[in-house]
Amino acid sequence: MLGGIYRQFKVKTAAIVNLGDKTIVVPTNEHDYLVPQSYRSSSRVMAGMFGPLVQNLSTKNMFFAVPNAELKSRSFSKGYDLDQFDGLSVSSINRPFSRLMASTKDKCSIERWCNPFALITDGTRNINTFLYQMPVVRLSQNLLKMFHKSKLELTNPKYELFGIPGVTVFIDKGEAADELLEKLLNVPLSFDGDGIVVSRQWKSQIKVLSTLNEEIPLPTVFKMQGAARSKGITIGEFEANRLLVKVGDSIMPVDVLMNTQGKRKNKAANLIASGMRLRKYLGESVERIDTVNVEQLIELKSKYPIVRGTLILDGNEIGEVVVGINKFYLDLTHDMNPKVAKPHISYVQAQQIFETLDFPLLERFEKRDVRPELSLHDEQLTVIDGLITKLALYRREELI
Amino acid sequence: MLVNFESLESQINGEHEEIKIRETARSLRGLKQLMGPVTCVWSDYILEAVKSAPLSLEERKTLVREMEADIRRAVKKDKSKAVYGAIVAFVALRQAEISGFADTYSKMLGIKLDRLIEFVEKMSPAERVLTSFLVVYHNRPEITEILKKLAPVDKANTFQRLSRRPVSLIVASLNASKIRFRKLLGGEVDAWWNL
Repeated sequence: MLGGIYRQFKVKTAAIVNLGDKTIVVPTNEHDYLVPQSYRSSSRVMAGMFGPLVQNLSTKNMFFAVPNAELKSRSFSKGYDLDQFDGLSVSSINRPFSRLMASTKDKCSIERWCNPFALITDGTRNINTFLYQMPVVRLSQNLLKMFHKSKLELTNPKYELFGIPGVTVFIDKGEAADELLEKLLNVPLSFDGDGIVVSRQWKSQIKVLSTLNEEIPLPTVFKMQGAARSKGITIGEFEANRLLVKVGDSIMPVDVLMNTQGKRKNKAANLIASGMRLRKYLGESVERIDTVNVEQLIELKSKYPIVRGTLILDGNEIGEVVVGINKFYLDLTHDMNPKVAKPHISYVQAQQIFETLDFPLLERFEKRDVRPELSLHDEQLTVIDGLITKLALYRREELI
Repeated sequence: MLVNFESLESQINGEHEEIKIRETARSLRGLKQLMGPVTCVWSDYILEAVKSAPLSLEERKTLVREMEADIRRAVKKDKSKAVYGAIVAFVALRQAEISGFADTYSKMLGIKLDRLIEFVEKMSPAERVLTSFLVVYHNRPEITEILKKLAPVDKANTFQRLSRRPVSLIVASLNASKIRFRKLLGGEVDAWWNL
Protein backbone atom coordinates (compact mmCIF):
# COMPACT_ATOMS: atom_id res chain seq x y z
CA MET A 1 0.00 0.00 0.00
CA LEU A 2 1.49 3.30 -1.08
CA GLY A 3 -1.27 5.68 0.03
CA GLY A 4 -2.50 6.22 3.56
CA ILE A 5 -5.93 5.45 4.99
CA TYR A 6 -6.47 8.89 6.48
CA ARG A 7 -5.90 12.40 5.19
CA GLN A 8 -5.46 15.73 6.95
CA PHE A 9 -8.38 18.12 6.93
CA LYS A 10 -8.04 21.70 8.09
CA VAL A 11 -10.69 22.90 10.52
CA LYS A 12 -11.35 26.10 12.45
CA THR A 13 -10.40 26.33 16.10
CA ALA A 14 -12.01 27.90 19.14
CA ALA A 15 -11.33 28.34 22.84
CA ILE A 16 -13.76 27.89 25.72
CA VAL A 17 -13.43 30.91 27.98
CA ASN A 18 -15.13 31.75 31.27
CA LEU A 19 -16.54 35.27 31.44
CA GLY A 20 -17.89 35.74 34.95
CA ASP A 21 -20.90 33.45 35.22
CA LYS A 22 -20.97 32.76 31.50
CA THR A 23 -18.87 30.39 29.46
CA ILE A 24 -18.31 31.44 25.88
CA VAL A 25 -16.79 29.93 22.79
CA VAL A 26 -14.35 32.23 21.01
CA PRO A 27 -13.02 31.44 17.52
CA THR A 28 -9.22 31.56 17.64
CA ASN A 29 -6.23 31.58 15.33
CA GLU A 30 -2.58 30.65 15.60
CA HIS A 31 -1.58 33.96 17.19
CA ASP A 32 -3.91 33.50 20.16
CA TYR A 33 -1.84 30.67 21.60
CA LEU A 34 1.40 30.74 23.56
CA VAL A 35 2.66 27.65 21.74
CA PRO A 36 1.58 27.79 18.07
CA GLN A 37 2.47 24.10 17.48
CA SER A 38 -0.40 22.95 19.69
CA TYR A 39 -2.77 25.09 17.62
CA ARG A 40 -1.42 23.63 14.38
CA SER A 41 -1.85 20.02 15.50
CA SER A 42 -5.43 20.67 16.61
CA SER A 43 -6.43 22.57 13.50
CA ARG A 44 -5.68 19.56 11.33
CA VAL A 45 -7.95 16.57 11.76
CA MET A 46 -6.83 13.19 10.42
CA ALA A 47 -9.96 11.74 8.90
CA GLY A 48 -11.28 9.28 6.38
CA MET A 49 -14.69 9.06 4.75
CA PHE A 50 -16.31 11.95 6.63
CA GLY A 51 -13.28 14.29 6.55
CA PRO A 52 -14.70 16.48 3.74
CA LEU A 53 -18.01 16.73 5.62
CA VAL A 54 -16.25 17.91 8.78
CA GLN A 55 -14.17 20.40 6.82
CA ASN A 56 -17.26 21.83 5.10
CA LEU A 57 -19.08 22.21 8.41
CA SER A 58 -16.05 23.98 9.83
CA THR A 59 -16.00 26.39 6.90
CA LYS A 60 -19.61 27.23 7.74
CA ASN A 61 -18.64 27.95 11.38
CA MET A 62 -20.53 24.88 12.58
CA PHE A 63 -17.55 22.79 13.67
CA PHE A 64 -14.61 23.86 15.83
CA ALA A 65 -11.65 22.00 17.26
CA VAL A 66 -10.61 23.18 20.73
CA PRO A 67 -6.79 23.04 21.05
CA ASN A 68 -5.50 21.84 24.39
CA ALA A 69 -3.16 24.80 24.59
CA GLU A 70 -2.62 27.86 26.73
CA LEU A 71 -3.99 31.12 25.40
CA LYS A 72 -1.88 34.26 25.37
CA SER A 73 -4.75 36.25 26.76
CA ARG A 74 -8.10 35.39 28.28
CA SER A 75 -9.55 38.87 27.91
CA PHE A 76 -12.17 38.06 25.31
CA SER A 77 -15.41 39.98 25.39
CA LYS A 78 -17.35 38.44 22.50
CA GLY A 79 -18.16 34.89 21.63
CA TYR A 80 -20.89 32.32 21.27
CA ASP A 81 -22.69 30.90 24.29
CA LEU A 82 -21.38 27.41 25.10
CA ASP A 83 -24.98 26.16 25.27
CA GLN A 84 -25.20 26.70 21.50
CA PHE A 85 -22.76 23.83 21.00
CA ASP A 86 -22.77 20.08 21.41
CA GLY A 87 -19.44 19.25 23.01
CA LEU A 88 -19.89 15.51 23.40
CA SER A 89 -21.14 13.97 20.15
CA VAL A 90 -18.07 14.47 17.98
CA SER A 91 -15.39 14.79 20.69
CA SER A 92 -13.36 11.95 22.08
CA ILE A 93 -15.22 10.63 25.12
CA ASN A 94 -11.94 10.99 27.03
CA ARG A 95 -11.67 14.66 26.05
CA PRO A 96 -15.22 16.07 26.19
CA PHE A 97 -15.61 19.49 24.53
CA SER A 98 -12.45 19.05 22.46
CA ARG A 99 -14.54 19.28 19.28
CA LEU A 100 -17.64 21.46 19.18
CA MET A 101 -20.59 21.25 16.82
CA ALA A 102 -23.08 24.10 16.67
CA SER A 103 -26.45 22.76 17.73
CA THR A 104 -29.76 24.08 18.90
CA LYS A 105 -30.70 20.64 20.24
CA ASP A 106 -29.08 18.53 22.95
CA LYS A 107 -27.28 16.53 20.27
CA CYS A 108 -25.95 17.96 17.03
CA SER A 109 -27.27 17.30 13.54
CA ILE A 110 -24.46 14.88 12.56
CA GLU A 111 -25.16 12.72 15.59
CA ARG A 112 -28.92 12.70 14.86
CA TRP A 113 -28.16 11.97 11.22
CA CYS A 114 -26.05 8.99 12.23
CA ASN A 115 -28.34 7.83 15.03
CA PRO A 116 -31.95 8.98 14.49
CA PHE A 117 -32.71 8.01 18.11
CA ALA A 118 -29.91 10.25 19.43
CA LEU A 119 -32.20 12.42 21.55
CA ILE A 120 -33.34 9.41 23.55
CA THR A 121 -29.85 7.88 23.77
CA ASP A 122 -27.44 8.34 26.69
CA GLY A 123 -25.38 11.54 26.44
CA THR A 124 -22.10 9.63 26.55
CA ARG A 125 -23.05 7.26 23.71
CA ASN A 126 -22.38 8.96 20.40
CA ILE A 127 -20.49 8.51 17.15
CA ASN A 128 -17.53 10.27 18.86
CA THR A 129 -14.19 9.79 17.12
CA PHE A 130 -15.57 7.19 14.70
CA LEU A 131 -16.71 10.17 12.62
CA TYR A 132 -13.07 10.82 11.72
CA GLN A 133 -11.78 7.28 12.04
CA MET A 134 -14.20 5.73 9.56
CA PRO A 135 -12.02 5.02 6.51
CA VAL A 136 -13.21 5.33 2.92
CA VAL A 137 -14.70 1.95 2.06
CA ARG A 138 -15.88 0.23 -1.09
CA LEU A 139 -18.74 -2.18 -0.46
CA SER A 140 -19.89 -5.09 -2.59
CA GLN A 141 -23.04 -4.57 -4.64
CA ASN A 142 -24.91 -6.81 -2.18
CA LEU A 143 -24.03 -4.70 0.85
CA LEU A 144 -24.66 -1.48 -1.00
CA LYS A 145 -28.11 -2.74 -2.03
CA MET A 146 -28.78 -3.78 1.55
CA PHE A 147 -27.90 -0.29 2.79
CA HIS A 148 -30.13 1.47 0.27
CA LYS A 149 -33.01 -0.96 0.79
CA SER A 150 -32.87 -0.73 4.57
CA LYS A 151 -31.76 2.86 5.28
CA LEU A 152 -34.07 4.73 7.61
CA GLU A 153 -35.97 7.69 6.21
CA LEU A 154 -35.70 10.98 8.10
CA THR A 155 -37.52 14.27 7.80
CA ASN A 156 -34.33 16.30 7.38
CA PRO A 157 -32.08 15.20 5.68
CA LYS A 158 -34.00 12.58 3.73
CA TYR A 159 -32.04 9.49 4.79
CA GLU A 160 -29.77 8.46 7.65
CA LEU A 161 -25.98 8.81 7.36
CA PHE A 162 -24.11 6.08 5.54
CA GLY A 163 -22.70 3.18 7.50
CA ILE A 164 -21.78 -0.43 6.66
CA PRO A 165 -24.94 -2.54 6.96
CA GLY A 166 -24.93 -6.07 8.32
CA VAL A 167 -27.57 -8.60 9.42
CA THR A 168 -26.88 -8.54 13.13
CA VAL A 169 -27.90 -10.95 15.84
CA PHE A 170 -27.88 -9.57 19.37
CA ILE A 171 -27.51 -11.99 22.29
CA ASP A 172 -27.08 -11.39 26.01
CA LYS A 173 -23.63 -11.77 27.54
CA GLY A 174 -23.38 -14.91 29.61
CA GLU A 175 -22.75 -18.62 29.62
CA ALA A 176 -25.24 -19.41 26.83
CA ALA A 177 -23.53 -16.87 24.57
CA ASP A 178 -20.08 -18.23 25.41
CA GLU A 179 -21.23 -21.79 24.65
CA LEU A 180 -22.54 -20.62 21.29
CA LEU A 181 -19.24 -18.86 20.53
CA GLU A 182 -17.27 -21.99 21.37
CA LYS A 183 -19.45 -24.12 19.08
CA LEU A 184 -19.22 -21.56 16.30
CA LEU A 185 -15.52 -20.73 16.48
CA ASN A 186 -14.06 -23.83 18.15
CA VAL A 187 -12.21 -21.67 20.68
CA PRO A 188 -13.35 -20.71 24.18
CA LEU A 189 -14.29 -17.05 23.68
CA SER A 190 -16.55 -14.77 25.63
CA PHE A 191 -18.73 -11.74 24.93
CA ASP A 192 -17.81 -10.29 28.34
CA GLY A 193 -15.15 -8.04 26.82
CA ASP A 194 -17.62 -6.55 24.30
CA GLY A 195 -16.09 -8.44 21.39
CA ILE A 196 -17.86 -8.71 18.05
CA VAL A 197 -17.91 -11.80 15.84
CA VAL A 198 -18.30 -11.40 12.07
CA SER A 199 -18.80 -13.71 9.13
CA ARG A 200 -15.84 -14.15 6.81
CA GLN A 201 -18.03 -13.49 3.77
CA TRP A 202 -19.40 -10.21 5.17
CA LYS A 203 -15.90 -9.00 5.98
CA SER A 204 -14.63 -9.85 2.51
CA GLN A 205 -17.30 -7.60 0.98
CA ILE A 206 -15.76 -4.54 2.63
CA LYS A 207 -12.62 -3.06 1.08
CA VAL A 208 -10.85 -0.05 2.50
CA LEU A 209 -9.66 2.50 -0.05
CA SER A 210 -6.32 4.21 0.42
CA THR A 211 -5.73 7.83 -0.53
CA LEU A 212 -4.30 6.48 -3.84
CA ASN A 213 -7.46 4.45 -4.47
CA GLU A 214 -5.83 1.11 -3.65
CA GLU A 215 -8.19 -1.54 -2.30
CA ILE A 216 -7.08 -2.90 1.05
CA PRO A 217 -8.75 -5.87 2.73
CA LEU A 218 -9.78 -5.44 6.35
CA PRO A 219 -7.21 -6.62 8.91
CA THR A 220 -7.81 -9.81 10.91
CA VAL A 221 -8.74 -7.84 14.01
CA PHE A 222 -10.35 -4.44 13.76
CA LYS A 223 -12.43 -2.06 15.83
CA MET A 224 -15.99 -1.33 14.83
CA GLN A 225 -19.06 0.25 16.36
CA GLY A 226 -22.76 0.32 15.70
CA ALA A 227 -24.78 3.42 16.46
CA ALA A 228 -24.36 5.08 19.86
CA ARG A 229 -20.96 3.72 20.79
CA SER A 230 -21.84 0.01 20.78
CA LYS A 231 -18.23 -0.71 19.98
CA GLY A 232 -15.89 -3.64 20.18
CA ILE A 233 -13.07 -5.38 18.41
CA THR A 234 -13.63 -8.43 16.24
CA ILE A 235 -12.71 -11.54 18.20
CA GLY A 236 -13.55 -14.19 15.65
CA GLU A 237 -14.80 -15.08 12.18
CA PHE A 238 -17.17 -17.79 11.06
CA GLU A 239 -18.40 -19.19 7.75
CA ALA A 240 -21.65 -17.46 6.81
CA ASN A 241 -23.43 -20.69 5.89
CA ARG A 242 -23.03 -22.07 9.42
CA LEU A 243 -25.04 -19.43 11.21
CA LEU A 244 -28.46 -18.43 9.92
CA VAL A 245 -31.38 -16.56 11.37
CA LYS A 246 -35.03 -17.16 10.62
CA VAL A 247 -37.36 -14.17 10.78
CA GLY A 248 -40.93 -14.99 9.80
CA ASP A 249 -40.59 -16.86 6.52
CA SER A 250 -37.18 -15.48 5.64
CA ILE A 251 -33.92 -17.19 6.45
CA MET A 252 -30.81 -15.02 6.23
CA PRO A 253 -27.11 -15.65 6.86
CA VAL A 254 -25.86 -13.80 9.95
CA ASP A 255 -23.20 -11.16 9.25
CA VAL A 256 -22.46 -9.92 12.75
CA LEU A 257 -22.97 -11.38 16.22
CA MET A 258 -22.80 -8.93 19.11
CA ASN A 259 -24.15 -8.45 22.64
CA THR A 260 -27.40 -6.72 23.64
CA GLN A 261 -25.46 -3.85 25.30
CA GLY A 262 -26.18 -4.76 28.94
CA LYS A 263 -27.52 -1.79 30.90
CA ARG A 264 -26.29 0.85 28.46
CA LYS A 265 -28.92 3.35 27.49
CA ASN A 266 -28.38 2.93 23.77
CA LYS A 267 -30.82 0.16 23.03
CA ALA A 268 -33.25 2.18 20.95
CA ALA A 269 -30.32 3.31 18.79
CA ASN A 270 -29.16 -0.26 18.28
CA LEU A 271 -31.97 -2.75 18.71
CA ILE A 272 -34.99 -0.67 17.65
CA ALA A 273 -33.25 1.11 14.76
CA SER A 274 -31.75 -2.20 13.53
CA GLY A 275 -35.17 -3.81 13.77
CA MET A 276 -36.73 -0.98 11.77
CA ARG A 277 -34.09 -1.35 9.04
CA LEU A 278 -34.76 -5.10 8.87
CA ARG A 279 -38.51 -4.52 8.67
CA LYS A 280 -37.95 -2.11 5.78
CA TYR A 281 -35.53 -4.53 4.11
CA LEU A 282 -38.14 -7.29 4.32
CA GLY A 283 -40.75 -5.09 2.67
CA GLU A 284 -42.67 -3.71 5.66
CA SER A 285 -43.46 -0.01 5.58
CA VAL A 286 -41.57 2.00 8.18
CA GLU A 287 -42.44 5.50 9.35
CA ARG A 288 -40.24 8.49 8.48
CA ILE A 289 -38.37 9.66 11.59
CA ASP A 290 -38.31 13.24 12.81
CA THR A 291 -35.06 13.13 14.76
CA VAL A 292 -35.91 16.19 16.86
CA ASN A 293 -39.38 14.98 17.85
CA VAL A 294 -38.71 13.17 21.12
CA GLU A 295 -42.35 12.12 21.51
CA GLN A 296 -42.30 10.39 18.12
CA LEU A 297 -39.02 8.66 18.98
CA ILE A 298 -40.55 7.27 22.18
CA GLU A 299 -43.66 6.17 20.27
CA LEU A 300 -41.54 4.37 17.66
CA LYS A 301 -40.17 2.09 20.38
CA SER A 302 -43.61 0.62 20.99
CA LYS A 303 -44.73 0.86 17.36
CA TYR A 304 -41.73 -1.12 16.10
CA PRO A 305 -40.70 -3.43 18.93
CA ILE A 306 -37.49 -5.46 18.68
CA VAL A 307 -37.52 -8.10 15.94
CA ARG A 308 -37.22 -11.67 17.21
CA GLY A 309 -35.72 -14.45 15.14
CA THR A 310 -34.65 -18.04 15.54
CA LEU A 311 -30.93 -18.68 15.43
CA ILE A 312 -29.84 -21.72 13.42
CA LEU A 313 -26.34 -23.13 13.91
CA ASP A 314 -25.22 -25.89 11.53
CA GLY A 315 -28.86 -26.64 10.69
CA ASN A 316 -30.07 -26.85 14.31
CA GLU A 317 -32.37 -24.25 15.88
CA ILE A 318 -30.69 -23.10 19.06
CA GLY A 319 -32.85 -20.32 20.44
CA GLU A 320 -34.66 -17.05 20.04
CA VAL A 321 -32.58 -13.90 19.51
CA VAL A 322 -32.90 -10.21 18.64
CA VAL A 323 -32.26 -9.52 14.95
CA GLY A 324 -31.78 -6.40 12.89
CA ILE A 325 -29.70 -4.70 10.26
CA ASN A 326 -27.20 -2.69 12.23
CA LYS A 327 -25.07 0.04 10.71
CA PHE A 328 -21.36 -0.05 11.45
CA TYR A 329 -18.42 2.33 11.45
CA LEU A 330 -14.81 1.16 11.44
CA ASP A 331 -11.70 2.42 13.17
CA LEU A 332 -8.39 1.42 11.60
CA THR A 333 -6.22 3.92 13.45
CA HIS A 334 -4.67 1.22 15.61
CA ASP A 335 -3.28 -2.20 14.91
CA MET A 336 -5.55 -4.30 17.08
CA ASN A 337 -3.57 -7.51 16.71
CA PRO A 338 -2.22 -8.80 20.01
CA LYS A 339 1.43 -7.91 20.37
CA VAL A 340 4.13 -9.33 22.61
CA ALA A 341 6.81 -6.71 22.88
CA LYS A 342 9.10 -8.88 25.01
CA PRO A 343 8.72 -11.90 27.23
CA HIS A 344 8.35 -10.40 30.70
CA ILE A 345 9.93 -13.42 32.29
CA SER A 346 11.64 -11.35 34.95
CA TYR A 347 8.30 -11.12 36.71
CA VAL A 348 8.21 -13.30 39.78
CA GLN A 349 4.68 -14.43 38.97
CA ALA A 350 5.69 -15.51 35.48
CA GLN A 351 8.67 -17.43 36.89
CA GLN A 352 6.43 -19.17 39.40
CA ILE A 353 3.90 -20.11 36.73
CA PHE A 354 6.59 -21.46 34.41
CA GLU A 355 8.10 -23.48 37.25
CA THR A 356 4.73 -24.87 38.32
CA LEU A 357 3.79 -25.80 34.78
CA ASP A 358 7.31 -27.06 34.06
CA PHE A 359 7.11 -25.05 30.87
CA PRO A 360 10.41 -24.91 28.99
CA LEU A 361 9.87 -21.36 27.72
CA LEU A 362 13.49 -20.64 26.96
CA GLU A 363 13.88 -23.66 24.73
CA ARG A 364 11.31 -22.15 22.44
CA PHE A 365 13.64 -19.27 21.54
CA GLU A 366 16.10 -19.90 18.76
CA LYS A 367 19.76 -19.62 19.82
CA ARG A 368 22.06 -17.63 17.57
CA ASP A 369 25.42 -15.91 17.68
CA VAL A 370 24.79 -12.39 18.87
CA ARG A 371 28.38 -11.28 19.41
CA PRO A 372 28.50 -9.04 16.28
CA GLU A 373 25.29 -7.34 17.37
CA LEU A 374 26.64 -6.93 20.89
CA SER A 375 29.86 -5.32 19.71
CA LEU A 376 27.84 -2.87 17.60
CA HIS A 377 25.65 -2.20 20.63
CA ASP A 378 28.76 -1.53 22.74
CA GLU A 379 30.14 0.86 20.14
CA GLN A 380 26.89 2.78 20.10
CA LEU A 381 26.80 2.88 23.88
CA THR A 382 30.32 4.31 23.95
CA VAL A 383 29.18 7.14 21.71
CA ILE A 384 26.13 7.74 23.92
CA ASP A 385 28.35 7.64 27.02
CA GLY A 386 30.55 10.33 25.48
CA LEU A 387 27.55 12.48 24.66
CA ILE A 388 26.17 12.09 28.16
CA THR A 389 29.50 13.11 29.70
CA LYS A 390 29.50 16.24 27.55
CA LEU A 391 25.89 16.95 28.50
CA ALA A 392 26.69 16.49 32.19
CA LEU A 393 29.63 18.88 31.90
CA TYR A 394 27.40 21.41 30.19
CA ARG A 395 24.74 21.06 32.89
CA ARG A 396 27.43 20.93 35.59
CA GLU A 397 26.01 17.75 37.00
CA GLU A 398 28.09 15.06 38.64
CA LEU A 399 28.08 11.59 37.19
CA ILE A 400 27.98 8.66 39.58
CA MET B 1 -31.69 -18.79 26.92
CA LEU B 2 -29.76 -16.52 24.56
CA VAL B 3 -31.77 -13.36 25.28
CA ASN B 4 -33.79 -12.37 28.33
CA PHE B 5 -36.55 -10.63 26.37
CA GLU B 6 -38.56 -9.58 29.42
CA SER B 7 -35.68 -7.65 30.95
CA LEU B 8 -34.56 -6.26 27.57
CA GLU B 9 -38.01 -4.95 26.66
CA SER B 10 -38.53 -3.32 30.05
CA GLN B 11 -35.12 -1.60 29.70
CA ILE B 12 -35.95 -0.39 26.20
CA ASN B 13 -39.29 1.00 27.32
CA GLY B 14 -37.87 2.88 30.28
CA GLU B 15 -34.40 3.98 29.20
CA HIS B 16 -35.47 7.35 27.75
CA GLU B 17 -36.75 8.48 31.16
CA GLU B 18 -33.25 8.34 32.67
CA ILE B 19 -31.54 10.25 29.87
CA LYS B 20 -30.43 13.80 30.65
CA ILE B 21 -28.08 14.79 27.87
CA ARG B 22 -27.33 18.38 29.00
CA GLU B 23 -26.54 17.28 32.56
CA THR B 24 -24.29 14.53 31.25
CA ALA B 25 -22.44 17.04 29.07
CA ARG B 26 -21.98 19.42 32.00
CA SER B 27 -20.76 16.76 34.38
CA LEU B 28 -18.38 15.29 31.80
CA ARG B 29 -16.92 18.72 31.21
CA GLY B 30 -16.65 19.18 34.97
CA LEU B 31 -14.93 15.84 35.23
CA LYS B 32 -12.01 17.20 33.29
CA GLN B 33 -12.10 20.61 34.97
CA LEU B 34 -11.82 19.26 38.51
CA MET B 35 -9.24 16.57 37.88
CA GLY B 36 -6.19 18.82 37.54
CA PRO B 37 -6.77 21.40 40.31
CA VAL B 38 -7.91 18.83 42.89
CA THR B 39 -4.95 16.51 42.21
CA CYS B 40 -2.64 19.53 42.38
CA VAL B 41 -3.75 20.76 45.84
CA TRP B 42 -3.45 17.27 47.27
CA SER B 43 -0.27 16.00 45.62
CA ASP B 44 1.78 19.18 45.26
CA TYR B 45 0.98 20.69 48.65
CA ILE B 46 -0.50 18.20 51.14
CA LEU B 47 1.52 15.17 50.09
CA GLU B 48 4.73 17.22 50.20
CA ALA B 49 3.84 18.47 53.68
CA VAL B 50 3.07 14.93 54.85
CA LYS B 51 6.57 13.78 53.86
CA SER B 52 8.24 16.00 56.43
CA ALA B 53 5.52 16.00 59.11
CA PRO B 54 5.78 14.06 62.40
CA LEU B 55 2.89 11.72 61.63
CA SER B 56 2.37 8.13 62.69
CA LEU B 57 1.94 5.44 60.07
CA GLU B 58 -1.79 5.25 60.80
CA GLU B 59 -2.19 9.00 60.40
CA ARG B 60 -0.35 8.95 57.09
CA LYS B 61 -2.55 6.11 55.89
CA THR B 62 -5.72 7.95 56.93
CA LEU B 63 -4.68 11.10 55.10
CA VAL B 64 -3.58 9.30 51.95
CA ARG B 65 -6.84 7.33 51.92
CA GLU B 66 -8.81 10.56 52.23
CA MET B 67 -6.72 12.12 49.46
CA GLU B 68 -7.44 9.18 47.19
CA ALA B 69 -11.15 9.27 48.05
CA ASP B 70 -11.36 13.01 47.33
CA ILE B 71 -9.56 12.69 43.99
CA ARG B 72 -11.84 9.77 43.12
CA ARG B 73 -14.89 11.93 43.87
CA ALA B 74 -13.40 14.61 41.58
CA VAL B 75 -13.09 12.26 38.62
CA LYS B 76 -16.43 10.51 39.07
CA LYS B 77 -19.11 11.25 36.48
CA ASP B 78 -21.56 11.69 39.34
CA LYS B 79 -20.62 15.03 40.87
CA SER B 80 -23.25 15.02 43.61
CA LYS B 81 -20.80 14.24 46.45
CA ALA B 82 -18.76 17.17 47.76
CA VAL B 83 -15.16 17.31 46.55
CA TYR B 84 -13.24 19.09 49.33
CA GLY B 85 -10.21 19.72 47.09
CA ALA B 86 -12.40 21.62 44.60
CA ILE B 87 -13.20 24.31 47.19
CA VAL B 88 -9.54 24.51 48.21
CA ALA B 89 -8.35 24.77 44.59
CA PHE B 90 -10.86 27.55 43.93
CA VAL B 91 -9.99 29.51 47.07
CA ALA B 92 -6.26 28.91 47.32
CA LEU B 93 -5.22 28.61 43.70
CA ARG B 94 -7.91 30.95 42.31
CA GLN B 95 -9.18 28.43 39.80
CA ALA B 96 -12.05 30.53 38.47
CA GLU B 97 -13.15 27.79 36.04
CA ILE B 98 -14.42 25.62 38.87
CA SER B 99 -16.27 28.37 40.72
CA GLY B 100 -19.62 26.63 40.10
CA PHE B 101 -18.50 23.42 41.76
CA ALA B 102 -16.81 25.29 44.65
CA ASP B 103 -20.00 27.26 45.25
CA THR B 104 -22.23 24.15 45.25
CA TYR B 105 -19.91 22.11 47.48
CA SER B 106 -19.33 24.93 49.97
CA LYS B 107 -23.10 25.22 50.43
CA MET B 108 -23.30 21.45 50.98
CA LEU B 109 -20.59 21.65 53.65
CA GLY B 110 -21.93 24.83 55.28
CA ILE B 111 -18.91 26.99 54.42
CA LYS B 112 -19.14 30.70 53.69
CA LEU B 113 -16.97 30.93 50.59
CA ASP B 114 -16.61 34.75 50.59
CA ARG B 115 -15.38 34.79 54.18
CA LEU B 116 -12.88 32.00 53.48
CA ILE B 117 -11.48 33.83 50.44
CA GLU B 118 -11.14 36.99 52.50
CA PHE B 119 -9.54 35.10 55.40
CA VAL B 120 -6.77 33.49 53.33
CA GLU B 121 -6.23 36.42 50.97
CA LYS B 122 -2.91 37.63 52.38
CA MET B 123 -1.38 34.22 52.98
CA SER B 124 1.20 32.43 50.83
CA PRO B 125 -0.20 29.80 48.44
CA ALA B 126 0.97 26.90 50.64
CA GLU B 127 -0.61 28.48 53.74
CA ARG B 128 -3.78 29.18 51.79
CA VAL B 129 -4.05 25.52 50.74
CA LEU B 130 -3.47 24.19 54.25
CA THR B 131 -5.79 26.68 55.94
CA SER B 132 -8.53 26.09 53.37
CA PHE B 133 -8.28 22.35 53.91
CA LEU B 134 -8.61 22.87 57.68
CA VAL B 135 -11.75 24.92 57.10
CA VAL B 136 -13.42 22.59 54.57
CA TYR B 137 -12.79 19.56 56.76
CA HIS B 138 -14.24 21.29 59.87
CA ASN B 139 -16.88 18.56 60.22
CA ARG B 140 -14.35 15.72 59.90
CA PRO B 141 -12.25 15.89 63.14
CA GLU B 142 -10.29 12.73 62.28
CA ILE B 143 -8.84 14.56 59.26
CA THR B 144 -8.44 18.02 60.80
CA GLU B 145 -6.44 16.54 63.70
CA ILE B 146 -3.89 15.26 61.18
CA LEU B 147 -3.95 18.39 59.03
CA LYS B 148 -3.12 20.48 62.11
CA LYS B 149 0.21 18.66 62.38
CA LEU B 150 1.28 19.71 58.88
CA ALA B 151 3.43 22.72 58.17
CA PRO B 152 3.10 24.63 54.88
CA VAL B 153 5.85 23.66 52.45
CA ASP B 154 6.86 25.00 49.07
CA LYS B 155 4.87 23.63 46.19
CA ALA B 156 6.50 20.64 44.52
CA ASN B 157 5.63 20.29 40.88
CA THR B 158 5.51 16.52 40.75
CA PHE B 159 5.31 16.19 37.01
CA GLN B 160 7.96 18.73 36.10
CA ARG B 161 10.36 17.25 38.64
CA LEU B 162 10.00 13.80 37.16
CA SER B 163 10.32 15.01 33.60
CA ARG B 164 13.78 16.47 34.13
CA ARG B 165 15.80 13.57 35.39
CA PRO B 166 19.45 14.18 36.28
CA VAL B 167 22.07 12.84 33.92
CA SER B 168 23.44 10.50 36.60
CA LEU B 169 20.09 8.71 36.66
CA ILE B 170 20.14 8.31 32.89
CA VAL B 171 23.66 6.86 33.12
CA ALA B 172 22.67 4.42 35.86
CA SER B 173 19.71 3.31 33.80
CA LEU B 174 21.88 2.92 30.71
CA ASN B 175 24.41 0.81 32.61
CA ALA B 176 21.63 -1.41 33.89
CA SER B 177 20.38 -1.77 30.32
CA LYS B 178 23.86 -2.77 29.16
CA ILE B 179 24.00 -5.56 31.73
CA ARG B 180 20.49 -6.68 30.85
CA PHE B 181 21.32 -6.76 27.14
CA ARG B 182 24.47 -8.76 27.72
CA LYS B 183 22.63 -11.24 29.88
CA LEU B 184 19.72 -11.39 27.51
CA LEU B 185 21.68 -11.85 24.31
CA GLY B 186 24.99 -13.40 25.22
CA GLY B 187 24.67 -14.88 28.67
CA GLU B 188 23.94 -18.37 29.78
CA VAL B 189 20.38 -19.65 29.71
CA ASP B 190 20.15 -19.50 33.50
CA ALA B 191 20.84 -15.80 33.34
CA TRP B 192 17.36 -15.28 31.89
CA TRP B 193 15.93 -16.03 35.27
CA ASN B 194 18.11 -13.52 37.06
CA LEU B 195 17.33 -10.46 35.03
